[in-house]
Amino acid sequence: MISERRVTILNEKGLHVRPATKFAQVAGRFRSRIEIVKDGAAVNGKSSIDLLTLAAEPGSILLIRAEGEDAGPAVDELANLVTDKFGFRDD
Amino acid sequence: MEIIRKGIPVSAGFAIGEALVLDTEEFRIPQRTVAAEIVEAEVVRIERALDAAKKEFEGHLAKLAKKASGLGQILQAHVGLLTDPQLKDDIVGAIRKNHFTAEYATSRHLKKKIKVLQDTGSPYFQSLTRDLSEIEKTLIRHLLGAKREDVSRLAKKVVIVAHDLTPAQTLALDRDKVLGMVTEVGGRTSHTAIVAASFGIPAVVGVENVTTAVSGGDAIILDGASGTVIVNPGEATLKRYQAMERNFVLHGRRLGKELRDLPAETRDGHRVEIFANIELPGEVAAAVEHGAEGIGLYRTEFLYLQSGFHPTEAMHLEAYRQALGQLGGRKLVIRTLDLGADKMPVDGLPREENPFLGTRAIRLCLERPELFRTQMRAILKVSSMGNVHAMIPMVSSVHEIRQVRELIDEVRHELVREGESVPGRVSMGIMVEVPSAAIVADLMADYVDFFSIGTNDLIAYSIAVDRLNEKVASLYQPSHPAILRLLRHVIEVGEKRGKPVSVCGEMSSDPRYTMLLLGMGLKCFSVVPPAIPEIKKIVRSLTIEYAREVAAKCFEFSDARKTDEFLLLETRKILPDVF
Repeated sequence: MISERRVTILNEKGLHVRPATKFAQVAGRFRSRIEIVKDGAAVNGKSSIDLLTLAAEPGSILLIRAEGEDAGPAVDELANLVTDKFGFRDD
Repeated sequence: MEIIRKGIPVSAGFAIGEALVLDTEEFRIPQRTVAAEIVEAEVVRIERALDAAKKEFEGHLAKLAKKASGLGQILQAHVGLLTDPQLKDDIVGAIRKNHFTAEYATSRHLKKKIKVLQDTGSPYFQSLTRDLSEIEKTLIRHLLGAKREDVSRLAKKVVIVAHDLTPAQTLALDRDKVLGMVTEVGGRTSHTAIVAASFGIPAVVGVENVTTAVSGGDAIILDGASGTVIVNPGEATLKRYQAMERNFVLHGRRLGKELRDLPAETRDGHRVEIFANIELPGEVAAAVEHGAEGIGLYRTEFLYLQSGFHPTEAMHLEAYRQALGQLGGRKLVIRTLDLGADKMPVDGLPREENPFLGTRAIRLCLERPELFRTQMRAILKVSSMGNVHAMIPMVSSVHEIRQVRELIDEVRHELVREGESVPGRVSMGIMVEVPSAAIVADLMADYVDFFSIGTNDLIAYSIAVDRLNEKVASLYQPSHPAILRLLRHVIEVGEKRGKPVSVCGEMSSDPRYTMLLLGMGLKCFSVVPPAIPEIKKIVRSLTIEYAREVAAKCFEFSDARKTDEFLLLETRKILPDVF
């Protein structure tokens, strides 16, 4: 099963170390393979370091793509996390 | 397999030995690969290091009172990065696939990620490379454990191979254990080059990607005269170089012994002086041993670099006394602070777009007189103990030199009030290294006791060439007609006004230019100690008439390359073993 969704990075500094770490942690709870695509480059969504290398600045659009039994809930939760500015109020 | 690389030769001599590869953090990168049977042991090592590094950051975090503070967030982020499952998978994968050591696999992987971030073009994301570097450093530290090596205390003799060496690193190197130095960056007048030449350590700089071609422990040969670096030499190559090394050492010793106590005098009795350039007080003995008639350039930057940029008056005094004590009445020329605001953090000075044209040397001293006063107090104090002269770098106008004179007078009065015995007038000269100073040398002459031409910067500023930028390094030509004219002008002014002129730049240490400088009327050479015997040999082989003819001929060439070819042929007649 494959599920995907486009999201926009809203927090002030973009997908920097803390958001990337949090995103990878949440992604790591799912069994599905999770890929994040930006401008044609895809990285492992469970890797905080690889997420950093996307250099996703505020306003950039990411595609979250999950493949596996829990792909739907994974994309839901990860998209919410991005929209919720990763739960950080100070970024 | 034998790998041959070429670089820029900066300090002659041969080094044959084992390579020690340093990364920028002064860590030793050990062997890059291991035997197949211990690959799994390497995997265990990286797993343990990841764990230990994570525990280390968590330990710091536990001690913090406020977890939400800036530092707390950084530590949490580092823990997060270390627990990245992909990080472990990638490193372990590289170890299993390529038989890399855990250290090398880790460093290579994180450096790749750092490169990606650097290439993003986003200043904010580029700044995050700090976090990845921190992770890399921490992991390497845990992997190496007790194996970490301090470059100031090396266990055996090695050839240092590094991307770059900082001034602090080169000064800290254990000189008895360093056979030679190879760096990827740098030019003929880079710091590594200057230190290597003055220590008499063979060195080659500007060897592209050499740190990736060499692994720690590899056999390496370095020829500091031709700029050749050979990694893993075959037996025939090794034998050939060993023979060449023996000849070189014998030739140097013979020349040094033969000439040490003889004057630097031409065959027809024209006497010149040869002084030494030194970096550390400990070099005085070697300089005298090579036949130096004194120290023509005592660089004092080491005091700043070793003391966190704020040496006390007592530290200055100790360094100067130490040098003077070994000179037995010979001359000591102390150059005042010659660092820029880019090298030396100074409160309240903004970052400069163009440090080379910015607040450097005397400009920094006039901006922050307290820096200058501390050093000048020590120089004035030692000037009553011996033949001491102060030399001011980077002077560009008469106005500056008058300001310096005033400051020195103030310091002198202050010392007299304190009851110190200081001479009525201290000998003070300037470095001529800014073209404006060379052009108005006649106006400067009223205010100074001597001139010392710093050709390295004079050439760079006159030809507008960054000597460290390999793309334009070939434009850096000591024998450019413009440089020769500036030199001639300063030498003539000095002669007319009775102010001694010396040349203390690299040009002076290069035997190919000895005849030319001699023929132009230069009476004082200040050179790296190992060059003294060769320079003296050339002086003693000529008549002053012949040198003048050579110089006159050089002034006819419009192209520096022609001048260099001509001088090489002339020098070869006298030193066939070297050129």
